[in-house]
Amino acid sequence: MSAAFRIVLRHELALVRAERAYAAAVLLFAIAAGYAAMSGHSWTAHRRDVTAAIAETGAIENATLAHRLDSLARDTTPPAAFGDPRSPYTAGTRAARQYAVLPARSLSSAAIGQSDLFPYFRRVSMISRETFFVNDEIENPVNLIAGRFDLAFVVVVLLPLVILALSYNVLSADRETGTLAMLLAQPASGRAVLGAKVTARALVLLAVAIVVFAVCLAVSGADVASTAGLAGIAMWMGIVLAYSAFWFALAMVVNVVGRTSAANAVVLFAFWLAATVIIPALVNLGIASIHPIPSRVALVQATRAASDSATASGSQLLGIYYQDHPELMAGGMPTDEFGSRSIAVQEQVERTVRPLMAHFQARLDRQEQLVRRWRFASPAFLVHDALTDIAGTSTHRYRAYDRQVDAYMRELKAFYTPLVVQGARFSAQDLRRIPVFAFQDERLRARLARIVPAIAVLFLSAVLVAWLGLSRAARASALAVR
Amino acid sequence: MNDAGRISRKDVIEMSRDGRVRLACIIVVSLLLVALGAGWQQFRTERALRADARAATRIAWLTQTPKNPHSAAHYGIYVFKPTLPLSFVDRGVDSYVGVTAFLEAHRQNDFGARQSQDATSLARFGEWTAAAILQILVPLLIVLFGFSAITGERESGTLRQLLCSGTSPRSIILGKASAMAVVLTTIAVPAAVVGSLAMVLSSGSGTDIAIRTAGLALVYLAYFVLFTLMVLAVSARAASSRGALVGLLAFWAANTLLAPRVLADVSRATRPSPSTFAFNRELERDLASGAPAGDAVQTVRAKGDASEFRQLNVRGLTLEAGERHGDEVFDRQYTALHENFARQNRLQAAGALLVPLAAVRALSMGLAGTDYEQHWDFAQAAERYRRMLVHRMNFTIAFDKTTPDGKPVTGDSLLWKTVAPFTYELPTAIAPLSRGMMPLVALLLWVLGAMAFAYGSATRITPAARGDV
Repeated sequence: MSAAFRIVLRHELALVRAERAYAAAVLLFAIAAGYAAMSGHSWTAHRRDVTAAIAETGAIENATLAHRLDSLARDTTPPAAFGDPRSPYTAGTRAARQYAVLPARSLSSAAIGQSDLFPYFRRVSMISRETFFVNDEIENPVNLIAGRFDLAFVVVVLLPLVILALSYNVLSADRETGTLAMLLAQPASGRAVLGAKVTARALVLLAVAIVVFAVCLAVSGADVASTAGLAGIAMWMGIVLAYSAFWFALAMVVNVVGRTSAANAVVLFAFWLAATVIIPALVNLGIASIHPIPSRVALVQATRAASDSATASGSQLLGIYYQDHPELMAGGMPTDEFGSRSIAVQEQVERTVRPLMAHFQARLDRQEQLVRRWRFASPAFLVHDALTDIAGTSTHRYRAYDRQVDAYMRELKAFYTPLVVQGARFSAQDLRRIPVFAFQDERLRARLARIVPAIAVLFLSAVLVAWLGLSRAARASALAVR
Repeated sequence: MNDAGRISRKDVIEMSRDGRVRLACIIVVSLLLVALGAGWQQFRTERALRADARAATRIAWLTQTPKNPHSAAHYGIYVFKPTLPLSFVDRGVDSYVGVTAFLEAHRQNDFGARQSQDATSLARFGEWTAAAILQILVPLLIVLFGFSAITGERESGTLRQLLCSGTSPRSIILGKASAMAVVLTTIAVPAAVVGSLAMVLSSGSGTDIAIRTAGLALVYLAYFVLFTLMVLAVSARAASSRGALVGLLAFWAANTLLAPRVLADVSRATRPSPSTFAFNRELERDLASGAPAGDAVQTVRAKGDASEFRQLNVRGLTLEAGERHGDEVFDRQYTALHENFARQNRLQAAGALLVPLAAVRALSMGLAGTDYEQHWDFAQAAERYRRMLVHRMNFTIAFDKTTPDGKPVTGDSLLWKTVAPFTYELPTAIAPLSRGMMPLVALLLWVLGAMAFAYGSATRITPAARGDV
């Protein structure tokens, strides 16, 4: 760092601190971040309340059922087909349904992502995971369209605007007032001057941003005690720094190449618009035409047709089912005909529907892969994707949760089926042995493998763009008054 | 030609020669056409899929094997939301509400299969419909074309000449506004032509669609007029082009990005919705606390002519009583939820007095038929059909005189045919307006306010910026 650079830097720092417009922009940014943090805090609190209510309800329901089973244990009459919890089929499908909850990560309110759209708990029975009247999160659809004012929104959309407000006229203001010619007459290279000016603004903004975000993340519920929590905060800050560097670099280049302040503002705003609105929309359109959203309407019809044909051949299926599962016949002929038949029918339905569901799922996966590959097209979407990834509110995590709930359903089925087929009596001991759902979150390593490249790409683009700007600035004539 | 006309003509020629203006217009027109095309394609595909599904579900109902009518009520039917002609312009809430509902006995199911859940997170970044472009990009264009309308003239010295030549400041503003209108027309006309063509091709024409289309055109016209006048007024008052630009961009950002989210937050905070968990538990609890069967039978018997009801099949009566209890509970709970959403939407409509975009969005969705109230209307129609179907099945059991009391009744395809297929008619264009005039009133107030602002700012046009010599 040359002496000239340091002198200009000190000078610029004083100027930036004195400029009221800059202070206003930074203050507005801090207010927006604070608002987002408060809103995120209430979201976290709400979700925590609901999760606690679910746990409590689950415990009460299990305890009530255990008590009822104990009092019925002395009753020697055979269990009725419907409603009697001593029938394993009734227990498995209705009486002993278990809750499968997706836990929130510590930073989940910093980037709401998809969590206002997808449910984070399900009540699972051995044949179905959708036994609720309302399956999705209750939210006014008009609000879903608007999106959320969360910290991710502040970073992705508002932070670049503040950066551009600070630096859109970093050179052009001096050029217009005539002081640039004087500055360049000093023994300071164009590169040093430009570099110092941008660095001054960057230092001021980033110092404020780091502090503001640290406070806001803490308010939103960041967990500094665990490795994962700390890693999350570190990744968040890394993304903010890389993203800011990109926009400062872009402002630098536009100032070197540009003319008037107003023209610079328009060009930089156009870049911002392209990154936040236009490019993601075009990429989305492209992906939608190559891999259109699969329609569930056809799936609904196919599932129903499969269910109809399976139900019609119910008793035949039962015979085939017994042949396929000799291990269940160890205790002799089964006594719960209805339950066994229902299970057999359900298996047949699943078998018929599985290729359709697999095909549907494959199309969703292809879409996701394309998005994963094309997220680099827009820095704004790249950052949004990374932030929701850290927060654990991405589509990816919800789909993983869905798959684990399906696996849990199969686990429950494997638990209940022998009991149903053998006509065993469901007791309180069985209730205690029921498998419990525990969500397996992905390893931190996997997350880092996705986010570190994103940060790297942002930094590299920033460096490249800055280098372009500085190398043009090296020719002092390029900065001269036009 | 008077002064305003001359200024207008000069500005139009200047803008048409400006490469940046041409580029921006071409980009916006292309994006509009692409959005219309993609929207129309999706509309046609969805319409075909849902028509097939409707036919299939009707056939499935009619070709059921003979069974107990109550089992048939459990077999149920699927209904699919209609695809509305103007939804390719403004999708509204369509992606965020389910497309299909299962109608069965004992349960009022929520609509499932939200298209947004099967889409990528990229789609959540913003659905790219023609309405989005008209609401977000075109005002930005107006800002970019018009921020230096007055300040630019001042800074280049031509404003002094204009004023000295006797042109009134009001003519200047009027002239500039007309120039902007001409430029916007060149953007809007191709899109409007293509859009109308697409609509006529796919759904034919009808008075209602024509009224809705005209309404949409007027709403967006009002929005652009409002924005143009505001931009010119700010340009007249601003000290420099830079100041005008920054101020207008800040207003645009606040209007387009911040306001919808803040309004949503405020409506959620003041009128919170129940959590899914709490809602479902309350529903289950209310349903479980139904009247016991014996009382229910007495209730149903007491409601009708005693002699007629004396011969009835008890099973049918019991089912019917249980169903009525369920109907009451569902009405109470779902209506309360709808009322909660409606109150949130009314609050946001009131917010339109501060934020013009809220008014335009509400009106645009209402006219396109993709607002929340339209969804609720369809959901209510589906629920009425469900109750008709279930009651018909229950009454068949209750009034059956051929089998002795207590024996199960069997229905066959003759019975299935007596249930008419589900039909739904879209309400007319008056419906969205009759639900609430607030967005319309707010938009009109904004237009009048913008006119007053522009008129008042005309007097502030000075050849030198305040503070200059």
